[in-house]
Amino acid sequence: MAIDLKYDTLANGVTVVNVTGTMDALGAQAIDLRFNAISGSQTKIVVNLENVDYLSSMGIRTIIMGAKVVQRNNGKMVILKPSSDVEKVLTESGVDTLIPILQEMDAAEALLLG
Amino acid sequence: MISQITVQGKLEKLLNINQWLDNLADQGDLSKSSLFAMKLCCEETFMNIVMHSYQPENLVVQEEDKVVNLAVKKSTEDIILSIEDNGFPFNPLEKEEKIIPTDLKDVQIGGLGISLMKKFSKSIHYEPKNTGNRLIFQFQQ
Repeated sequence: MAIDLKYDTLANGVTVVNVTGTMDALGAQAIDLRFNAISGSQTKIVVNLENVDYLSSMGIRTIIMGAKVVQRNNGKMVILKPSSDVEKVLTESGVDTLIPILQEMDAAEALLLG
Repeated sequence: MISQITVQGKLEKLLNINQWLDNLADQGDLSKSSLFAMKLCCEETFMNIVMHSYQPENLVVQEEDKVVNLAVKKSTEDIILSIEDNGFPFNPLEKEEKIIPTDLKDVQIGGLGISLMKKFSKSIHYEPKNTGNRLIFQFQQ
């Protein structure tokens, strides 16, 4: 599956980044620039992984690099709705201790706006 | 032997490897969770080979001769995946596992692949070859 990235900033200032497809080395390479640009320009970011079917260390690299930029700008990033396989990659690599993983959009917004 | 594939050690060939594994799954030979784990172990190994095994100081083969062989076979209970390359000798299992800091600002990018391979497979065995390396993964059916 190829990869696609779309984003939208809600009225409350939360930016939702919807990634669709496969976050392998090729997918990560395809979205790296856009993901970094969004991370550098927004401070409240939800990364919606609901439609991501696969994640590898190269996909994690993209997310972590973005999250570091957001933190430098005193912002916050959360991950929303990963599948069980994708969540296992995130937890086994310790990403869940760095970036909150949530299953509900309400909770994600509350965390970013709180 | 169920299936095997030979690809050049170039990033874009990851697509061929994933298609090969998808085909195996379509034939009913792999469960969804096995497919995910095998894709992850294939990619992490393949990327290590592509990024590190043929660096100029390690170069033992010409650009066009970088070859990676992947094979899958089933035993009664397990799936065995073998990945062979002809790069510089390197045992990834001897590499120290990365410890993730708890603050993003302390995180250094990279180094997660080997620990993910260990977490998503039942066992990994390394064998040096005369001209390269072989990793053998075991997965549950």
